[in-house]
Amino acid sequence: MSRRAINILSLLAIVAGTVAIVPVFAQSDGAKRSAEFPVKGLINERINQNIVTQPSVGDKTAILGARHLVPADMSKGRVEMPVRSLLFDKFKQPAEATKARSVVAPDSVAVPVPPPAELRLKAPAKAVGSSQKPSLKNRNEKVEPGKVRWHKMVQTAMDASKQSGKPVLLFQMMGHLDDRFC
Amino acid sequence: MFSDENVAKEINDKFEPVWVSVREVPTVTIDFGNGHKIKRTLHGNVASYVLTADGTIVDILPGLYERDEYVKQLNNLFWVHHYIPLSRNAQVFLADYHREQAQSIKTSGKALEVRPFADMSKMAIEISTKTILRPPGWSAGPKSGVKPTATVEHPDFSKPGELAHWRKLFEDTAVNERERRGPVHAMLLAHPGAKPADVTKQLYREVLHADIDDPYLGLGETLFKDYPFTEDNPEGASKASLGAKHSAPKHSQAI
Repeated sequence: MSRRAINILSLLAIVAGTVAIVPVFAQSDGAKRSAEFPVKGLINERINQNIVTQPSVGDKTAILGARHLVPADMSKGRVEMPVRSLLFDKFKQPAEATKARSVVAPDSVAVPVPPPAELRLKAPAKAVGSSQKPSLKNRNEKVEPGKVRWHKMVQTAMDASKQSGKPVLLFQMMGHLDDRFC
Repeated sequence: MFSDENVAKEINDKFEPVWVSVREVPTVTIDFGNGHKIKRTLHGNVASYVLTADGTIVDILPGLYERDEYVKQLNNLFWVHHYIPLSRNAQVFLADYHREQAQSIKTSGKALEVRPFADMSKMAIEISTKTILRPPGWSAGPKSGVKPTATVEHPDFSKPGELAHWRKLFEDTAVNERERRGPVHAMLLAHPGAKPADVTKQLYREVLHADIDDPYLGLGETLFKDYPFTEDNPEGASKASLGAKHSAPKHSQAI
């Protein structure tokens, strides 16, 4: 076999190897997508059906428990509450948040096969983001208190004043300057 | 106001700013009974204190001010603070300052202006209220011809900057300067070396007319006095807000 023929064969072998590897990556990506797809599908389906979750009164662990059919325009608070509670519980009471996953829906609308617990926790948040913009009318969300560089505490401002020689400006108010409606 | 670039720059350059809440702001919700509800804040009020590094009050701007006047007044107070260590006696200097301001507001309805850079004068002058305070309008000059800012009665709040031209804000500013600053000066004159905690309650009760010790902020008389269905009133409302003078009839549920 000539040297040229050997080179060509080597090149062909490399190309064939690459082609063989690509489907492996494609398959792993496909596997990921195939795991995600049903969850996304479920979320989208629930959005379309206007199904949102509502926590049971006095029972934070049942956040994903009761499910109700409500019109989309009525669902703002009902959507937000589970998300806030989830975030709150997740950071402050991890044990309780974990417990929440095992709660079974008490009364209910037929729900498709539940997704894995970890993904189920994320579902309401995705639903909020994709289905509707949160209205600001009834919420007093936190905002930047203007462009002034406020000290966090009076004592800090006084300490800074000692250093800089500038007077302290103490803005005193009812309500909170970083509330949207103050 | 604090979102305005110029106001923020002025404050950031000249002050060490901090904000505090004295209590939650009361809100009122009207339910129209047809699914429509509106919610508004009620009786909220503010005060801007200028303090020395040890927390002594230099002066207070009571209530909300329109942008330009707020910056002007803060600038005046910046200079008062600047002159304190240059005076012979800080406490006497501040007492003189409050006395002369109270007098000026009483006689002319306007506060005196503070002369900037008085200590940079070629003539070595002693810093006192006489050398730093000037009549109202002094900085604008007699022939300045400065046009008053155009005001809008119903601004479009969706547009940035519109709030600054709101007529009500200008009217409030005028009321603050004409009717509220005088009592503030009198109060600070009576409490030399006062810290915010020493005068806050008095300020809100007597100057801003929102008693923060009263659960109903002093609105009890208006809310409960002539309201016939006393059983609707919250428990203790009459005692807390009306006092002995205007107490609601006892056992009114039986009537």
